[in-house]
Amino acid sequence: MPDYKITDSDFLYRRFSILDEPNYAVFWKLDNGRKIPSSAAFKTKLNEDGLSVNIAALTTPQTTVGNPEEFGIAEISASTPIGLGYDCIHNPQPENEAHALIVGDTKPIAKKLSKAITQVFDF
Amino acid sequence: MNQEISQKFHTSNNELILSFVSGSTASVFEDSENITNTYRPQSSQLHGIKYFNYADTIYGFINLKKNWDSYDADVISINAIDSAIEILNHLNHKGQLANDIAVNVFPMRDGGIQFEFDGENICAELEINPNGDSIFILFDDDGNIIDKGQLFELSELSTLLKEAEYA
Repeated sequence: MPDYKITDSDFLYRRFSILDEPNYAVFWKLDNGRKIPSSAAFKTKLNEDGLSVNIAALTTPQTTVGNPEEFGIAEISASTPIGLGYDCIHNPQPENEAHALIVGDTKPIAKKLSKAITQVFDF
Repeated sequence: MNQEISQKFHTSNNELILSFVSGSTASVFEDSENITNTYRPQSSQLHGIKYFNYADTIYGFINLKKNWDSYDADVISINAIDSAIEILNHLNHKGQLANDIAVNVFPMRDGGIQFEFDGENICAELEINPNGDSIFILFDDDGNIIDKGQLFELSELSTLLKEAEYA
């Protein structure tokens, strides 16, 4: 049962792949000299309910990352998707109490989400 | 398993071959017997190195397994890889890997591939869907979508990039 209300003051974590050879699933790119993940990391697939994220207030980057050799963490303010008209809801999972969804198809706002990254955690 | 290489876009007769020739690094050593040779790689050679790096990256996506992003991402489709290589060949042939636009290529969670074009006057993406179809998206500086449409000819991409760059 969702019991955490996500507001503009919350921050959200999204894992992104940093695997290099032989897979080349690297989501990094340089944006004005800053290393940021591609918008591809913020796009939902067809028929997904929304984009999976973790609520920063309920977890840590270290817990969210899982395997730091394969993934990094991008932090965004919940105010970005909320301000764009997207609901952000707590969606706890059996093994992840901090799980939440940015509800709906996030392809149209993926670029804005990637530009709104407030912090990147690369372990 | 044998994979038949398909061609999504119509390209001119020698475009594929020309892209390899113009991008080759072999000519750096074309006068190796002349010890006073001061020949240095020119933009076409550096351009070629870029081309092979991009091609290597795109072919590397074949190795990605289901759930490669930990959020249930799909395997990258062969159609998307074929289309991405066609597009890369075209950009190389048109010299658009060597200009001031930064080009990045990424796998997509739905099994497609995404090119990103970033420059002083351009912010654009080319989404290649798992079936090989391509959608060009142009953004403003804040990431708002200005224009979006499907590409049917490779030449459209060059035109769109030029128009966006000099708009």
